[in-house]
Amino acid sequence: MATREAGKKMIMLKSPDGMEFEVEEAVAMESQTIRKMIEDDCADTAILIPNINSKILSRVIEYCNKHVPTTGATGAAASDTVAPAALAEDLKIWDAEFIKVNRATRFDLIQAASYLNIKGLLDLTSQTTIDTISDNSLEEIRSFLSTKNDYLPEEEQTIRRENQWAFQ
Amino acid sequence: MDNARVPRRRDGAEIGDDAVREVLARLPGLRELLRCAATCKHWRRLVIDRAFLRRLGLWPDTARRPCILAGVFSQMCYSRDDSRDKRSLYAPPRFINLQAGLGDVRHPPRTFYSFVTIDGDDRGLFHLARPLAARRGFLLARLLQPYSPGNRDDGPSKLHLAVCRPLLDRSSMHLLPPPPFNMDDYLDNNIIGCAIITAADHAATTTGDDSLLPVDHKQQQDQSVFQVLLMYKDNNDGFAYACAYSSDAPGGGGWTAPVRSYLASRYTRCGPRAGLVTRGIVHWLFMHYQNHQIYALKVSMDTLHATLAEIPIEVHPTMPRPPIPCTVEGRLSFVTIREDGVADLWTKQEQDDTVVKEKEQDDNAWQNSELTNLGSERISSVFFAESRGALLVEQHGGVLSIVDLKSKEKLPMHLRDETGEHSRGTCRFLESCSSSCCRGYSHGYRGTTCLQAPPVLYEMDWVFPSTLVSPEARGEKQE
Repeated sequence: MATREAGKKMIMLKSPDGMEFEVEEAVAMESQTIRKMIEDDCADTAILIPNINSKILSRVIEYCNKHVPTTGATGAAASDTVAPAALAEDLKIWDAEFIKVNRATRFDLIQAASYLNIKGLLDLTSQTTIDTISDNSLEEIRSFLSTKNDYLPEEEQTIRRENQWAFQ
Repeated sequence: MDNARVPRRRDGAEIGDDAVREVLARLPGLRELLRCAATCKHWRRLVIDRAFLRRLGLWPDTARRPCILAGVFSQMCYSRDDSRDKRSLYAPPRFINLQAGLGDVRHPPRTFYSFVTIDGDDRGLFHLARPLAARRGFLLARLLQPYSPGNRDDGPSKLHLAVCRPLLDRSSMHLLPPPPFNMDDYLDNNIIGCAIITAADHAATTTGDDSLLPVDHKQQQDQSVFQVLLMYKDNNDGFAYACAYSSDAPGGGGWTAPVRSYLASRYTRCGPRAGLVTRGIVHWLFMHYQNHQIYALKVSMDTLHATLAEIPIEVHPTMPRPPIPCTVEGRLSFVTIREDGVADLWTKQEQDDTVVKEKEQDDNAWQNSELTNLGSERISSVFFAESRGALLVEQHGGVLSIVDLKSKEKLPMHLRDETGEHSRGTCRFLESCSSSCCRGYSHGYRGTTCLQAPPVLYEMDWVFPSTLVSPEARGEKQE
């Protein structure tokens, strides 16, 4: 974490397993959900983030730190000297590295990004799932999503028949 | 803390519903949504949800069930006078895809094109077909050559029609027996109107409103059942006749005897050949050839009884285009466009329908309201998308927009998959065409210079079997 600078308001985020994370307010406000709480004055110094364990929460904070405008994790000074295009490229590489996680973690991140309403993180984390749905057969999609097929064979047949073009 | 927003997971599920919805909303198109809905009942429930589909623009306020405006069939044809060989009169129909997601570059929707392409694997029937009308996924097309080879002299006087569901069921091609009338060489002039009526349309006559989504069991079986209505002009007496075809008539489908209706030679059709269908009634708009008065033609599918009623509205003869028929809440309405681009929607006030006699209708029953201002850019074509309840407008430069008749919102429409086929500055649906049919009037005379057959809008309903749609608490474990 960057050293705390004077004048920056800090926010405490707490995970249900008791861990506390101190982050800059600007970083926390990457989450629209937290932003709203802060703006509505619902937030004290500490905010409990339900259902997101410390492991996932720390990764989310890592993402927000990297993506917060003007001062990334690399610090304000660096962004002044690097061209925006290069910065975007750097961010893309960082994102690609960030998302190299196992499936369970990725679903947890989707879940967290959805609850915290962080658009960029949702886009990033759901992309693999979207690609899977686009490119694979129904059976492969089911196995990827671990959903159990509860259609009767004739029901599934009807869906496929009536919407044939979508299953080719 | 807002506890209502705490994500909840179902037993065994890896992500909660809110998160699933976020992923679903990011899918490139309808194809992917349908695939998700087919994985399991719970996901289907998340997809087939009115609020969710509305958010994605897939269940318009005006529609009774989720539907999509898939695209437009268009076809180049050539002046009758210039071409001797009947086989070269038409190019194969093209399909212009209006559904961004369906045209995703990574997944070219082959089925959208294959049945009309020349180089695809489906060279054949559709190569020389001419789309006439479409409704709820069904397409009525005229086959420009006899289906059976070696029968070519039979062509001009016989009308060969086929109904199919090109995107839904490629094996569903249904060839209709020739209708019970003869035509002269100018087939296009003879067919005044046509319509496809589906099982879903009949359901709409009995059931009321939004409850239509669950397709009942009978309907499910009837999904491929349809009727066709033809209005044609008999050149001997100048009258219009109606006849209907039913695919499930006893004996394997057949035409009814023609029913004489009105003196066709006095009226010119406004809008497309395909009639609008509400509650088992097919509607068209006509204009009197002399005094430019507008008439509404209603034909009942049950009796083939036709009524031609004058609409007591003054229409300026120099109006840039004829009125565009449409339906608003199941009633025939129409849109007029003024010279300055302001579009007006004309609707008829609610009456005690069955009680009021036609003659006693209040002249002031028709009222207009400003729909939208289309601006000064020249309007090249206007279509009405029946299921969607909106106008599709193409303006100068090929700019497309959708005007919702209910919300009166005008939204631009971008075609994501558009390639070099359409370059800026040209129109998609009209090319150097100034004939009356392309301005929305039917062909009224011989030797038209029209280079394009009237385009046909193609809309589809989503079809999901009823047992899958009704809420099933059994499959759900709520916390």
